[in-house]
Amino acid sequence: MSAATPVVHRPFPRTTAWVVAGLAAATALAVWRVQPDVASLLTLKTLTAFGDTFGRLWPPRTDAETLDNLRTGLAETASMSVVGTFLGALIGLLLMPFCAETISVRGALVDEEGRPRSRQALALSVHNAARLLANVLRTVPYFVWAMLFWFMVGPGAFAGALAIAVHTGGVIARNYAQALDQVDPRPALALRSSGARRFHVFLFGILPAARSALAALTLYRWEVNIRESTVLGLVGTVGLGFHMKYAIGIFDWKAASTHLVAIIALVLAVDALSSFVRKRLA
Amino acid sequence: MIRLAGVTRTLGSTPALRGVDLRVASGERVAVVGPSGAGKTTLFRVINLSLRPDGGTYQLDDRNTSDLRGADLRAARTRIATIHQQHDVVGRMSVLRNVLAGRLGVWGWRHASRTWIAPSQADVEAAHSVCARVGIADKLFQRADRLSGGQQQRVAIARALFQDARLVLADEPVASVDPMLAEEIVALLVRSATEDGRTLLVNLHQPDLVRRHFARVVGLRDGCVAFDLPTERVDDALLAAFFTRREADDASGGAPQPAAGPECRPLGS
Amino acid sequence: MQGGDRTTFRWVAGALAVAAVGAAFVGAEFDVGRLTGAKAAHGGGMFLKECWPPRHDAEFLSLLAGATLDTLSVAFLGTLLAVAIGIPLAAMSSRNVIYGARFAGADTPPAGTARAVFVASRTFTAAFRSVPEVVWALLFVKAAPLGALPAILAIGVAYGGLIGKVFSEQMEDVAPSPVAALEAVGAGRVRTFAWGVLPQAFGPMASYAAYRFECAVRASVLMGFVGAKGLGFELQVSYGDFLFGEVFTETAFLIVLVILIEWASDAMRRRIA
Repeated sequence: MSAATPVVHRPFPRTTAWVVAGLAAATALAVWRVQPDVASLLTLKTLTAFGDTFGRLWPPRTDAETLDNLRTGLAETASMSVVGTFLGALIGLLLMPFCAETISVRGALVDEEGRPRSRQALALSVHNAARLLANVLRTVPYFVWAMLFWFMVGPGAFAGALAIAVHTGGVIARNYAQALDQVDPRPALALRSSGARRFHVFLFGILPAARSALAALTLYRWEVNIRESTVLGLVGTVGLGFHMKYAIGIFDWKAASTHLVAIIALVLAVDALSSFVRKRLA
Repeated sequence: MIRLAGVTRTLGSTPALRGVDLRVASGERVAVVGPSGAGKTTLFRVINLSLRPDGGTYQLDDRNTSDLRGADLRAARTRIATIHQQHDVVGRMSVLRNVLAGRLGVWGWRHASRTWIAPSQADVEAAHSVCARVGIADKLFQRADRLSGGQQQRVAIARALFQDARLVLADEPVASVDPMLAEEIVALLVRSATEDGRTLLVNLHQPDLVRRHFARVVGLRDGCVAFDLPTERVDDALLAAFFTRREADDASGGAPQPAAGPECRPLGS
Repeated sequence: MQGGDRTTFRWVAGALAVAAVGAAFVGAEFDVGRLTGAKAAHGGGMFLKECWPPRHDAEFLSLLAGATLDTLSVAFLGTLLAVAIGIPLAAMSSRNVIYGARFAGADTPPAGTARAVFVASRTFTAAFRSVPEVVWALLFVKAAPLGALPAILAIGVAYGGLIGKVFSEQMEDVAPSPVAALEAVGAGRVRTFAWGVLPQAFGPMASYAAYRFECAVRASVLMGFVGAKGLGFELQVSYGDFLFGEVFTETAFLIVLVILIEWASDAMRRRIA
């Protein structure tokens, strides 16, 4: 055996060291910026205040006025999420074929060989424009869309539904297009080589394979949207979120509690319904 | 070292072990052979305390294992090192960390925690020397999943050596490597066990490896010990019979059909 | 008649879905006329006209830069807290961690302390994530109005629940044999987790945490509407005063922020994969 050379061990590889240092620096910067008052948080007084607040929530109020608010709130919040998801899915379906690469610029539906150059360039620019549109709809947050629509059609469930629809359209167009791009192209190619028209290839070769994925994506988006429509109430003046915010504003904790319970129940119910249907689809 | 008496174990509805008697003395090196579905892996899992016998007794170092729980069970496990067929090193971790993990059952809280963050120089050197013994010293700081299958198997052996257990079980350690490498790995296992005076149980599929490296062979069939003999008294025909995968078994999904009654009878005693 | 039942089910489900969507259109006071009418065009036109020119003087831009930093800080600390809450919850909610490798896929775990911990942590995880983060913030802000803390706590708790669920799925997905090998070495639960489960699940966990940070940025903007500092607060103030030139700039900040973070976390995901 050769003379024992010490094993040089760097416990932290360079990338790990950089990542750890970066996270530490980011944490330090964030702490310095917002100065979280942890010392006051961890006092007995504050902790008691938390206890009090949550204690005051019990029991939820069940008088006629609260229940009336609850009914309209539930109807508005649920309606906003359903209409938003439905219209968003429509927008997504419209944008989908142009956003999906395998449909607009290459793949089974496109004769890349036989296509004139100018045609392909046009297809490419339509594809890019559609993706840009979807990205704009997607990256502008739904509450900013809500601000625009509140201004156009007045504050209310209609504006909220439109905001959710537009934002959902952008998100779901991208998701749909990704789902189409992942479809096995062989059946479509087979149809195409048998001389089927492109629309029919899309209808019978691609769509059936992606159908359950599209439905699952839509349902998943509904789960997100039920939360977003609750939140729209908190920042605006509609639905369960609004009634809850209002109740808390006037320190009517028990009414707030009623709406909170309804929010939780609604969110859980939508999650359960959505996952039930998704399982049946799969 | 280990003493099994009438050990039975059922997996699901399949009787995997149907009354196994086996004694292995300290420092012995034993090859376990048998057709697939004979219960070899189940036997090894009982011996390394991953499975409890349904019936019979299993004594480890003259202590009955049936009542081991919690910390006692973990302490007993630290004395047994197991090397599996494949896929039991953590791919995302370095070879070093995989090897160090061998002593996780032995270390105290402080030692284990500091090693998780950054191992001490002493531990690194110990792991390095173990890796040198199995021929992967130069791979110490590489991620395990960047290594070839044979090298990953060596990592598992290094971990077992680092564990420093007196009993080493190797369950088909060379089932998925080519013959040259198989010879090397088995030789390595036997050599290291001999040097350190460890007890070694290896489950093998290759008659020539058994002949070259082991003095004692235990044949398992249908969950029973069919023979337990010095290697020179085992003739090629018998050995060959235990290595051929029986077509009927394969056709029926490999589930062993009890040929005789529920109890084991020794073969032609 | 299995096929017949299925057809019936589809018809009933389809009819119910159509009825529900129809009812939702009524409930949301859907009225295309209001969107295409002169009033809407006037309102929208005014909104867009006021947007231009966007406000871009140095004072305002530096105000927004600070607000962006606030938003990012809250999102980052919130995500950090969520990960800190989520990892233990996930570990306790994972069958292969709490019951051991051999129960990784078992549907009927053994009773005892382990099972009680498992059920309790799954319950907490579900409770944390069933309340939207802004609702948590609203409650926390009333209980303890301590600057950015309620917002950080709200993201931590709500996303702690989400992360707890997803991390535990990722932990249950790891290869069981290395975990079993560590158990065979005599390692206890915590060590098996730290050396066998965590390293294997690390990649997917990191990329989900990055995704949650993206969401946390949006959530942290929203917190501005319930009183936290940051871009959301500025947005709300500007909107309340009908200063759409400011709203435009703020939205632009927000979009650039979201795109940058998406881009960074995509890059990170590609590196890890």
